[in-house]
Amino acid sequence: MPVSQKMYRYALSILKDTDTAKDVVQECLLKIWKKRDLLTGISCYDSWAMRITRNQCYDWVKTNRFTIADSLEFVSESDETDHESILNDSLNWLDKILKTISPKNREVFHLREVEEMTYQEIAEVMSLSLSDVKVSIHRTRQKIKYSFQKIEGYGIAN
Amino acid sequence: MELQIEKLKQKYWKGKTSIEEEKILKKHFQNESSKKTETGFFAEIAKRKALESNKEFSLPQRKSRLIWQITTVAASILILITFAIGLDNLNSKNPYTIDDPKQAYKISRQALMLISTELNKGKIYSSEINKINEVKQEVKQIINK
Repeated sequence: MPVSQKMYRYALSILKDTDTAKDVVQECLLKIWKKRDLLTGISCYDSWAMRITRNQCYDWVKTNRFTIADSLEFVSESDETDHESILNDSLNWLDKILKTISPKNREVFHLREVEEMTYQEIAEVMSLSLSDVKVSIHRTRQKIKYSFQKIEGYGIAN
Repeated sequence: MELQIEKLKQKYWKGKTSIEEEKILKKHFQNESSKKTETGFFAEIAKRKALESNKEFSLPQRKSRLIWQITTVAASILILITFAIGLDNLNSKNPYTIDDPKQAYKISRQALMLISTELNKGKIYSSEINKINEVKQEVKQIINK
């Protein structure tokens, strides 16, 4: 199923655990199978499947009393990124930057940058308005660009 | 080309690029090492897109309706045949027989003795009942007088 790897990457971006992401995707596929009679009435199959994946991930989070923000040590958006720690930490540098944005903006970022979905598709998957999606993407990119400027300003970029 | 990429980058950071333009950027920078710079960023995104699970996900296989019907009929026939064979075996089963005459005599004797013993027990009870009846008749006669 071509969309399954897309679903896996999305689940992994939310849950940050490969095994859990695999289990969640398998459960999603079962759900899709059970709802296969509805497939004819669905205009964008990929968005529908991604929406199911998102709901399944949040169900898993709820059932297991797991907090997405905690798992990624979310720092409030207004906080300044600690650029020294970004450079020195062994964790992926982009992940460190993404940690400083909200889970919602991280999801929008993933769907746009990695899965190359349109604003409309992202809005459908995440139940957001089109303008919310646009604002989220703009803010995240600005944040990332600002981080790069800071890093380059330190003159330690490698 | 470099100028075009530079313009695209500026457009990108303002959030004004289309999916196609973003694809051009990612393709252009995909061979960059993951440096912590603006260009390394696009390479990192391309790397994330290539991420795949080693697990093969698949939907349950849809059984064709015809195969399902054939399986159902075959299972029903199998159950009927099993039931018929079982019934036949039950009917043709040999009754309890003993080939040795001496053994047969011995067992028959034991059976008859058992019956006889039980009958004798019954006989004792019936004589007691008769006595009660006799007393009852005598009492009746006395009352009638």
